[in-house]
Amino acid sequence: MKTAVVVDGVTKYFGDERALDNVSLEIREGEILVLLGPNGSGKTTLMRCIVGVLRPNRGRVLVYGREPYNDLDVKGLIGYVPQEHYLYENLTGFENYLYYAALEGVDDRTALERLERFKDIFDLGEWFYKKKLKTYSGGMIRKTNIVVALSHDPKVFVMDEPTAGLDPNARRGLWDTILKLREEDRTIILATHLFEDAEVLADRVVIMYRGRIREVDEVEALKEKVGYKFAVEVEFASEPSEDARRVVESYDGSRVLRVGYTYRILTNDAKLVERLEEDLRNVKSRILRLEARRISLGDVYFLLTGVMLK
Amino acid sequence: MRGRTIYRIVVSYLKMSFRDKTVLFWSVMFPLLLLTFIVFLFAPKPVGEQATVKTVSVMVVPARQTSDLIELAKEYVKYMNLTEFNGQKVFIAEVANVALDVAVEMLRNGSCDVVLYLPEDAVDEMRNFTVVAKVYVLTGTPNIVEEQMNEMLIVNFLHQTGMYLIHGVVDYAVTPIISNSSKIIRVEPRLAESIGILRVVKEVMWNNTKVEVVRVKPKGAEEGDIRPYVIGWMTVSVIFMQYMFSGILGGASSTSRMFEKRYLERIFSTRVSPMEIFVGLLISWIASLTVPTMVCLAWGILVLGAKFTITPLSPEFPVVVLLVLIGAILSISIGLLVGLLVRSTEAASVVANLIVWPSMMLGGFWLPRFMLPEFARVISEIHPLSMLLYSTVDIALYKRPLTAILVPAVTATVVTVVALTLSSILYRRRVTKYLER
Repeated sequence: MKTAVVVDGVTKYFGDERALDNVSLEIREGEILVLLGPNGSGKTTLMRCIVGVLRPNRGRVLVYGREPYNDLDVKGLIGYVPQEHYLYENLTGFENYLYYAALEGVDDRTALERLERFKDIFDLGEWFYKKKLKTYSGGMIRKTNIVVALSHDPKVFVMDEPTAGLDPNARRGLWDTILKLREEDRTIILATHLFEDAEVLADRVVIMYRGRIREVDEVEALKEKVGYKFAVEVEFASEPSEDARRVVESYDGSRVLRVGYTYRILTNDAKLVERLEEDLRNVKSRILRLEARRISLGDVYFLLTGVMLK
Repeated sequence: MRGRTIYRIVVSYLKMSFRDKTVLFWSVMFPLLLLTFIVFLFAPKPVGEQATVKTVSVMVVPARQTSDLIELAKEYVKYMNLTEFNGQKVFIAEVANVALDVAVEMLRNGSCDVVLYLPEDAVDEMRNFTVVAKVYVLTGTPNIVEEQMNEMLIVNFLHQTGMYLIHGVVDYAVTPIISNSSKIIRVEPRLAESIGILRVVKEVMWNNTKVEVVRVKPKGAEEGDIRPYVIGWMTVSVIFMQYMFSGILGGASSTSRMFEKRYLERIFSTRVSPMEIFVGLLISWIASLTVPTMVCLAWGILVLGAKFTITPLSPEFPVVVLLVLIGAILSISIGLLVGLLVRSTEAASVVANLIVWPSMMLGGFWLPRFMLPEFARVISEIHPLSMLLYSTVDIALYKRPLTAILVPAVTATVVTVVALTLSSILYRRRVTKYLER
């Protein structure tokens, strides 16, 4: 498979603060690559380097073999959807679309032809053409933000936290849209701190923490790498008693994580939840929740970085 | 540089600006209100609607409340109230039954313009054909012209009173001599010549001044009333003031705000170059200043009756358009420089205000240059926007030759080119720094 983007030993400083530390990555044409990490992990800085608004202090970024920072034509291959929309509120979605199309050097006729293709995918109704952006709902703005970034038919599509702040329905709608865009053979680079986004969308996931890449792989491969298949979660109503804590931490071959009154036990034993239920029957602490599930990317992220993602 | 991209930037920014009610108010409604306000307040009244002459209010204070002194005071009041100039009253006088110090205090409080004090011997002196009075007028007020007018009018009235008194006495004395002249000459033939002179004196003594007043229009207003040309001046002046508000103040705030929000980051992730954005913004700002210019001109000419000595077909017209355009570019360049040099929108607004208000007050925008104090006139003469305003006025209102405006116009153009070049260099640097945040 052809390489669309190469990130080669990129380091970026803001003053004394190192936002990216010797990051290297190859992104294949047509894949969805998800950058996973909390705020401050370097995802946005890496994206800004890829779209060519930031110049790395060391290393280089190549998009189809050319550096976007110095090359306006290569910028034309990239579509950028920043986390916040930078659209103009006194213009309609359609006028914003034509404006950004013109910045990309696309004439009105071509831009309109392209828009016809996206009309159904994004369900662009009269609101898009007639109403000013300031009257839009959050979902409408999100859609417009993406459509605007598609005006020049980019090969590489860079999206920063596209699902942040969306309700579950809108989020699922956006996942469908992103998957449809992938069907058009675009390379999609998506930053998120929501591991569910990564589970649903990612061909490969980049685990980022404090400006470094901790791991890059497919979701299932990452889960296998950490060596656990299941997670059992037990949530106590208050500070668990000594005997309760002893029970939770007593199982060989498992790893116990604790956040507040919730314990997460990572294990390969599919029947651990039944044993745990039995063992906790005689302890004094009240249990609010006890459930077992397959290990998630959030668990993987925690095991690799020590940081709990929501 | 892609023309179509720049065109789209200009169209989009113009749409954004003129859909914003605040921008619409400040760039269109505000200059119209300002122009209308200035015209109604300061433009001379139209022909046929004579301006009101200043009326002097006089308080006549007799030294004592004796009947003859009060009678004399009443006589003064009567004749003062009959005095007219061009059909309008000059004095509003009344007798005040108060002490002199009270009257002077009232004068100081602004209750009247003049206190006319009649001393105790005023009646006796009148019998000796002499007018005796003491006049109290204000001095040290902000309006020195009014002070001088009050003093001149009351003193002149008293001198005239003295003259009329003498005329009356002479008339009274000469009349019997003239009517008995044949008898006198028979007794003393050598008095014939003197009696002849007295006869002529009696004939002309009440009307021996033949002065013709010729009223001349100021230059540039020979064709008719001066009012339309004054409104023409005010229209051009408001257009330049609008450039200061929208160009300097608006430009500084918009530039600074552009760097505070992250719009530019999104814009520069596209294929557009910083210079394309710079040129697009510049053109859109110039275009957005053109709208209030046209609206002001239309309002000034069609509604308020402004007149200019040139028309769109005059050979000087393109020069006037060019001067106004340079004014717009200069104000935008200053706004850009301020917005690029300071770090926040608030600071940009403060600095721009510090430039705009003194410029307007001292640069000959609010008041014509000739009405400014000496130091402000110097400022006005070296202020590049003022140079452009007065060059425009010289051509559009006074029809002066192009050579008369050559030096200020070229100087202001050079300043504009320098300011624009500097702002484009600073813009590029700021964009690079901004993206590195």
